Amino acid sequence: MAVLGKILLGLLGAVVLAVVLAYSEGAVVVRVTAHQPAGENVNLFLPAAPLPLTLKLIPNTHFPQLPPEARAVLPALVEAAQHLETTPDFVLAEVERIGERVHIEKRGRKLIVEVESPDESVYVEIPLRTIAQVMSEVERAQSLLGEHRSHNCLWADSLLPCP
Amino acid sequence: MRKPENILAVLALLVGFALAAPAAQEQGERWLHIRVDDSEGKGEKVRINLPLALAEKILPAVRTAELREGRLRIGRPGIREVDIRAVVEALKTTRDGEFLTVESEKENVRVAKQSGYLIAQVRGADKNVDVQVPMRVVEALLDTDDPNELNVAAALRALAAHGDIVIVDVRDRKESVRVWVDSRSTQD
Repeated sequence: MAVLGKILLGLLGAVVLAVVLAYSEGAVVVRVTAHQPAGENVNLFLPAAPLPLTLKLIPNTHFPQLPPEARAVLPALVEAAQHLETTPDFVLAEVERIGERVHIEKRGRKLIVEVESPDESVYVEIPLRTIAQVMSEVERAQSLLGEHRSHNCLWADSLLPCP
Repeated sequence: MRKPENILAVLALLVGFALAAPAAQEQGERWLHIRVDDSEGKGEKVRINLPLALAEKILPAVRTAELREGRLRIGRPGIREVDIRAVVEALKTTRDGEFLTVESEKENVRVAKQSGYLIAQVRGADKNVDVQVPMRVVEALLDTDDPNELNVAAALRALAAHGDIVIVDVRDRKESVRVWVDSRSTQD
């Protein structure tokens, strides 16, 4: 019984540690509240830390190749997210029109996007560090994807550079 | 006996620095604000607040055909035919004064150099436009060896070093647009 207790305690400790590590970078929160009877409500609460790691595991060829305009701004998004972490809190953008409102705010170490429309309310909260990490992963994958396609590389399924 | 007091004093200093640091950073930060109010249609309101330091930081990271390393290509025909550098050089050395005035029934237009600013004004029956750009910003914009590009990053740095300024103010019956720089993170 004592051994079983120790094993269970060890497992519990491991689970607690895993949860703490998973949420160490905060969480990605997505809440969609429908205003129409037929609409759907969505509540998503994901640990932020594993997201960049998950992207690393996705094979290169499974990444859609982004249009050049989008690829061009990826490094800027990484820089922006990194820089925003050190700036004081502020409202980045607010757009209002009758019945609609978009609000983008830097709060703490998170970027918060709120959208109000007659159909639904959307609330998204993403840690800035996660944005930077995810964007740099996407940027890396895009450049490797470009390299692989241009060289017709047989190793295209891998994130490793062409041999 | 005096050791705990010393430790307390050091701790108090550290806490003081820690509290003062963000405030100092906030004071030094320069912000670009954009406000658009449309009174017609859906009554659109746009508010954008951007730390200039952020714009300076991300601009060199954008790499498109037109924008690279914070420099904007101005290779369009029409612009190429005008030697902007020569125009600005002439503006720099010219004394304050009006360069262009157009008076018509609909509106009056005035372009001038005044106290280190390049100023453009439009006064009409239902529209007023005021644009003022510090000459230093204009010079920084042309601080590049390539005549077909504008150094936007340098212009942003010059703008950040400048004091509070309203760059664009457009007002007509339908909408108003205001672009300005100050040291506040809000538009209130």
